[in-house]
Amino acid sequence: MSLRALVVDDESLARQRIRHLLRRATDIEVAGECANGLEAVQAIEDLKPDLVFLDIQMPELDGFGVVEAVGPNEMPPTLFITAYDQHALKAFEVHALDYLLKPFSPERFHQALDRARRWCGQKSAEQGPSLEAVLAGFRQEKPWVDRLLVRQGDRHILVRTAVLQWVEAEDNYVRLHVEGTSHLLRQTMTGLLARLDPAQFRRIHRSAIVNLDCIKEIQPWTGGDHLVIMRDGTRLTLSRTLREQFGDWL
Amino acid sequence: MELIRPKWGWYWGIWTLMGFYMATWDLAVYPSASILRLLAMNLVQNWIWGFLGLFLLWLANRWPIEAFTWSQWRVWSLHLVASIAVAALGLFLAYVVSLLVQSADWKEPLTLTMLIKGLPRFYRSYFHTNLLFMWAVVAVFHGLRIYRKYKAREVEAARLETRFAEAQNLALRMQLQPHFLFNTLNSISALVHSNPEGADEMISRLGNFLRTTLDAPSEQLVTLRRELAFIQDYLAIEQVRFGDRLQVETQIPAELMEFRVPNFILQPLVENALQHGLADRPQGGLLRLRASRDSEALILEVQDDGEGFVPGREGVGLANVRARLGLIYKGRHRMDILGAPGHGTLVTLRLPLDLPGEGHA
Repeated sequence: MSLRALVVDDESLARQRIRHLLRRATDIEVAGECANGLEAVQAIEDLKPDLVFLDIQMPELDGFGVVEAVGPNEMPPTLFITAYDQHALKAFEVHALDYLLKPFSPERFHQALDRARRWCGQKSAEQGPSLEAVLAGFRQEKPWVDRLLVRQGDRHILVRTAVLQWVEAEDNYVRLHVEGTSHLLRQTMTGLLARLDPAQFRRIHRSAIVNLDCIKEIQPWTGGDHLVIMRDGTRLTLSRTLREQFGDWL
Repeated sequence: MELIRPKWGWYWGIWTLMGFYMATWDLAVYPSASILRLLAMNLVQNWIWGFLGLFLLWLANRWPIEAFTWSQWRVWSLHLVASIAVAALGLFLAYVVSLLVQSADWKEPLTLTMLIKGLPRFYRSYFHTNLLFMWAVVAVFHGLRIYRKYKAREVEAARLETRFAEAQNLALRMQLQPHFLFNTLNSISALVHSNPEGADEMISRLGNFLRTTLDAPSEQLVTLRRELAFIQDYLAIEQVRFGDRLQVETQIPAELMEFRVPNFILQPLVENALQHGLADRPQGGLLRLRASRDSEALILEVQDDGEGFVPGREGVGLANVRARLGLIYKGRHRMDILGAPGHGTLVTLRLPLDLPGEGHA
């Protein structure tokens, strides 16, 4: 049985190195290479590889962003590779997930590969290391994101949180309003709020999160509510129950 | 009193000692007089002077003498007039005290005529000594004041030096970014198989880079030539790692090479430019390094075409560059960061040409 592997690293020499080392592993075939996180998310969904070699530091969407976007439960067995990242290493150590530190020796690489093979051999996902736990551990270290990955038709795009004006709840989705357009993201309001920097984003209503930088003014409204007027003219409600967090302002 | 913490124990102690001293003087002149009486008289006199001296101290604290120059003539005159007045008043009171002490032996009571009769002789004998005392009060005050100021300046200088060392330490640590180092080693392990020549080249570049970091000269300033050689090793390594994604343009006129710049000052700027202009963008980017000069300053520019600097989000690297420039040039430099969202960042350093030990083109 041959395993199909995806190699993800933004440096071509680093991909070349893994390809070179994989030549000795006759049971593994390289199904594809990606130079950034966005390509990787697409490739994982399109190619459905059995194993992913995933670099952590990459432009825009890093390794953990890829896992998050694909979903920790849908993510194939993954061998994380990093040059140096204390946050990531801590998360790996805590959850006993094997990882490769650059530069690695061929012996170390094949040892990690053996372990990954056993992981691939597991019948159910529960028996392997839990990516979800690693991701949760990593989030504790670095709770906030600066980019959100959203699906647009059959491809993915990244939305920088800095340009995000406000977020609206829409059934099982949230609608991200950015200048001139909006994107749907499959996420809950609470889940999204946990990933946004509270210095910039606040929930003002059961169905609205705003970027504080995009508020033009706040006016008293009926029944203890307030009216929030955004720079683009959008009018939102600040509900009475969430008012305390603006205590200093109102 | 902001500079002088009053040490009243010393102040009154010295006046008391003076009282004892002058009592022995009187005893030498009038050996037959009662010791206790002489002592009591002199102590009271000196305490009166000490009390009047407080006024001089208050004046000195309010209008201290700042310099031995003509521009301070008003302050000098003020203290001269005040000390003469205080000495005169003090002497008068001392005279009254001495008469009271003497009159204890006399049968008749003390009268105004008696008082006035002996006064001129008393002033002739003692006025100049008393004036010297009062000047001593003013002089000691200023002496202490200058000493405290000098101490404060020394503490300030030591603090500056510590900050300097901290900045330098941080600058050095930034060179050895573990991420950079380990990724470079990883690239070399790939090159060893695919391009041994390239691996060779990369190893020597990395060697140069590390050597420059470890052999950092103790002086703060190095030639632009040396700083650029270091940056070029760094950039050459990054170019191998990132391939086509990194384009570098340098415009450094040869005649500027001998000007001196703070060592490692460009590296954090270049690293920042790469991080925001390149590492964060899959399509890669362009880095521009320029140097020029005008009549007063050497101008260094580091430009990228990345996301654009967001004001208020200055990282450790930029803050450190800013702190070091401030310590070295003391405000005679300029550091401008110009960022346009989506159009990159331009960092401009204007460094004055006329530093001591400056090389000349």
